[in-house]
Amino acid sequence: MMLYDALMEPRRRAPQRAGHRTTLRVPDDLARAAQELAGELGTTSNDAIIRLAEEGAVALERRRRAAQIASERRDAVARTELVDGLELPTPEELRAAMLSGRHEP
Amino acid sequence: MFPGNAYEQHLLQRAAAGDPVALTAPGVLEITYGLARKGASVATGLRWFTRLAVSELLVVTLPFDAAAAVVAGRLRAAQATPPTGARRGGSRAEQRAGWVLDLQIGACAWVHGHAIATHNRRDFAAIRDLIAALYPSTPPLAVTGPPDVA
Repeated sequence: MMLYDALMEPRRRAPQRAGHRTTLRVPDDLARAAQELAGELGTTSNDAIIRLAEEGAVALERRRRAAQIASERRDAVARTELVDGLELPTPEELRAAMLSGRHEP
Repeated sequence: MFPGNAYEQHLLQRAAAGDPVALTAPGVLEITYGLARKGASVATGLRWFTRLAVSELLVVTLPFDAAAAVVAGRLRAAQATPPTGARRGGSRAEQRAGWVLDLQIGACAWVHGHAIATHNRRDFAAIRDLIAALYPSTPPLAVTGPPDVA
């Protein structure tokens, strides 16, 4: 009876998507994650794989954007120019300046 | 943020979505100090927060690295004491210590490409403006209120 019930279950179909058709070899861990997600969402494993890939792409783009912004900011921090003829302070002046932060402004 | 409350739920949701909330290392210092100095009365709170911070799963801690240190130092030189005009609790020394910590938090978030979400928008808006004055051609520090998790 259970096999009959399973055969009579309407076949789930993934939502229609535009794009390039491809064949993939899916690692076991990813296949398991996709199956779990498919169960939660009531969709097919293939659809779940696409959703996981889309989430991953969004997360990757977010990380890239943050890294790009961070890179611009760090370049600005590192950009120091020493003007020709500029005199460095004496060792004593330098030491006093470095330790001045411990005193009230 | 408190175990089981809406903010912690927000953390969990962000982590599950692959976009964990970032804390700055100076921010972790501030929270840990506050919990640790209260001793036994919030010992479990300290343990909860420590596990949260060091797990690197639910939250990401942005390190206070060389670039952050340089920026924070320059910010402190530009504005050594907290901006006036706001009512503040604590002694003057405590207010200054808090301000230096805020400078470190702002600098750390900025160099790592992040924004700041805070109740203290006034002070962090001032820090945003100080950074913009020091590094005018760079993306500014975005400052928003805390996430709406109600």
